[in-house]
Amino acid sequence: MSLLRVSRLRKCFDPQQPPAVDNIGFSLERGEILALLGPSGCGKTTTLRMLAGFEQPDCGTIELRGLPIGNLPPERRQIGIVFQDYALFPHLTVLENVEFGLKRLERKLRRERARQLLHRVGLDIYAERMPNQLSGGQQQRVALIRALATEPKLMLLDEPFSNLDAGLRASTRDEVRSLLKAANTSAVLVTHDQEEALSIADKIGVMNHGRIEQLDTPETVYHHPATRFVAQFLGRTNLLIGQAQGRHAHTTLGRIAIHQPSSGEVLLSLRPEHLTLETAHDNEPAAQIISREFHGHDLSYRLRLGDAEILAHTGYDVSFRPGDRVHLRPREAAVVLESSVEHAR
Amino acid sequence: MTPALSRVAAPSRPRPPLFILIPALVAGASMLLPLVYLILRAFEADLDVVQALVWRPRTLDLLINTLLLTFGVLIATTLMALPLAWLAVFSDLKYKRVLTLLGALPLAIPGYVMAYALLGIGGHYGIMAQVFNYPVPRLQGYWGALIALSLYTYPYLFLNLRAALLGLDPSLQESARSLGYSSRQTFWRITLPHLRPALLAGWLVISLYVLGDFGAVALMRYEVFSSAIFTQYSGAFDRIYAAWLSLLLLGLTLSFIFADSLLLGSKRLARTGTGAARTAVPVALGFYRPLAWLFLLLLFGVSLGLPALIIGYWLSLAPMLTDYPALLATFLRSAGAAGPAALLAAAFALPIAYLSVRYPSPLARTLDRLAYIGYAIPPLTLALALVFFSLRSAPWLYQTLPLLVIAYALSFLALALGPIRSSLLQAKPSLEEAARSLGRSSFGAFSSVSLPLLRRGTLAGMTLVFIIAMKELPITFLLAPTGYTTLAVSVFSRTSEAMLAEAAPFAAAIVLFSSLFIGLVLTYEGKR
Repeated sequence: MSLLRVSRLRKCFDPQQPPAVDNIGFSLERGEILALLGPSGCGKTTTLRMLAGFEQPDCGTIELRGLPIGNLPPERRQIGIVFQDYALFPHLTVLENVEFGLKRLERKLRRERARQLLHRVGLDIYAERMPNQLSGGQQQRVALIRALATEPKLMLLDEPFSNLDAGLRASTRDEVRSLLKAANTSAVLVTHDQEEALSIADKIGVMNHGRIEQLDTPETVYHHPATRFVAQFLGRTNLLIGQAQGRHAHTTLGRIAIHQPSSGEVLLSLRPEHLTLETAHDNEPAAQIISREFHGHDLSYRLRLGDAEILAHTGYDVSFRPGDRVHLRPREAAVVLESSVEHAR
Repeated sequence: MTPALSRVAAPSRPRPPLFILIPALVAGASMLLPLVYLILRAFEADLDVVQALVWRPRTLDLLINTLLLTFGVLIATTLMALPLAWLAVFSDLKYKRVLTLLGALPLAIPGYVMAYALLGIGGHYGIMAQVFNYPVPRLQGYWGALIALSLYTYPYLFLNLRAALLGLDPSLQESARSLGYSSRQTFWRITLPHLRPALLAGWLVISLYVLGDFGAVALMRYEVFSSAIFTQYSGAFDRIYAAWLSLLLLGLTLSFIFADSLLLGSKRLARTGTGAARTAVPVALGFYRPLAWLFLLLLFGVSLGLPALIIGYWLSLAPMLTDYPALLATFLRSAGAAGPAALLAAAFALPIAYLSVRYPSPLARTLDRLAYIGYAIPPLTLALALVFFSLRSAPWLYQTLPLLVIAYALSFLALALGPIRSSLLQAKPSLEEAARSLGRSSFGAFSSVSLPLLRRGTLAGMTLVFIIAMKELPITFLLAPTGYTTLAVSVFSRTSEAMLAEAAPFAAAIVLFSSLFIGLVLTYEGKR
């Protein structure tokens, strides 16, 4: 049985507008971390707030451990949440903030337990401080520990790293992931940062216009995007139109391999790092290099091929000059995003 | 399923919890109910009788007198406040903070104390006759009321104008100068148009005060609506005419509010640039400096020096007349009504503010408006409405302390609302949501997280209500239980019987205590 099962969830704030969340469904196993990824306004935060019980869905069901919780008030859902602004209570000390959620324990045990938890994230020395005397990263950890202290069945994180500076982000990400994994707590986090989603989550749901366009492991979502939006939102990609015939397609790059048999006109995605450059031969379609960027460990080239502009990230050993005419060779099969005749197996 | 074909669901708004909704509705209802009773009472009489009562020359006289006084005070206060605000912001005078303080201080001297001071100059027992042996006639009637009210209310306009001048982007004026306008032309064409919202806001507050004032006009024996309502009610016991006069005064007040919003329009004069505002370079007064000093000396001399001198004179003249135990008992009676009123006002304001900030809806907006209408209703109208209400529906409330407390709370609710609302805006909603997800009910989250964060704002609001209720006159006069004389009533009744020396200690107590109010206003203003 899945820990969390969400089905046909829908929320419309304004009847004149398309729904903020449109008929989404997913499930989550115990201990799994799911990242809902999408641009702002895609409905990811609304989804999170419906899970927490701060927004009431228009229709759809939310089940936690097989029990419907859609009608429970937030305090009875056993779901913890860490807000984007951490929402530490400014009138309570760090220790009192952590104690706040432990009201089921006896008063004396509360204090002890809160200290233990703070010790676990190395913040016990700040126990008596007020929240505004902590750094952003420290506040983030207190907020997480405060939510974990209630031993929630599910943890929700709303843009958890967006208020941290870049240097702190990576280390905090690791710490949050290991805390969640150590507690074997399932989590749903919402982010617009694809790198964050790819590195922290076990599963990624890419959202657009209130729908989940693709839900899968980070590797699958990255390497085999299901739609044009997913391909473009996650990393950079080259979109090509081709005529497919079985496992190959004719494109401006010539005849290239595709990852699933298709026929007819198809839209293909080729990641820049899946392309390499070779000296052009006479009988092959040639591209002209517009510019090159040297990054040390690799290089980026912008090329013109017919009307299209192509981006390629190549290894350090592939060296051409702007103006050179080169042949583009795919190193992986292109991904079929849209085809007129689907799955002609 | 395409969006176009999908079922259109009604937007589901989060519903406010009952522990907020019910008190807010109670507050709104207690504001509306008395007014309904006032209208009922007014329409009780036959239409013919009403027409004969209302359409008579006396009503027109009252209307003309009221309008003459209101516009007279508006002109006089503008002539005092505008130059003072300009001097306090742009001039190269030193000690501009002191200037601001002195400009705000007259707020501590209520209109009836100002009238007391003016009455103390002339006449046979006046200070001119007694000390300088140079008897002058008593200042009375229109000019007396005009001067007393202007001296008391001009700080409202001054503080508004000063804030607007401080917020003015100096580069606007500098651009005008560089485009070839003289500093005088710049003032008329750039500065003054930008002061429009502040002028209108200040004028509105002042006209509400003048329309609602009772003490100063009654002491100066100038017949306007409010004093006529009182005479009608207490002397003639003609309650229907009193009710109609109250309604007319309410209508006049509402038309001032309406005119104000009409004149203000939808124009917004916000800074367009994003750069940090600079402070303007002080303007050298040069040749005009003596003129500026003369103006300041005259203004502060009359608005602050005169009341201090008169009160001091009477106090020194008759020290043994001061009955200290009686003074203390009177002070305690004032506090005994103002204290509970402050608590009740906060109890009403909290749910209304919470509703309008966290659960905005047409209902929340209506309740919010009602609170401000309570502030705008002329105090005598409100008091009379409550008299009618209690006589008809709750006779056990009539002439009791609780009714007086309720009247204060309704009248000054808006004062408590401001600070509570601003501290609520600072407390993020995610804090309450965090408490909910940590296992607290909506009431638990409100009381353990929001309420402690609102403590400062609530205390500030309560203090404001307390201090202003301490010096309230008209409501107290009509609603206080028999024998429940407060400081304000003591000053008023002694002054109207020409017992100026006996009134002095009570007046001094009010002025000293009200200075606290100014301190509070200035701390708030300083933080902005």
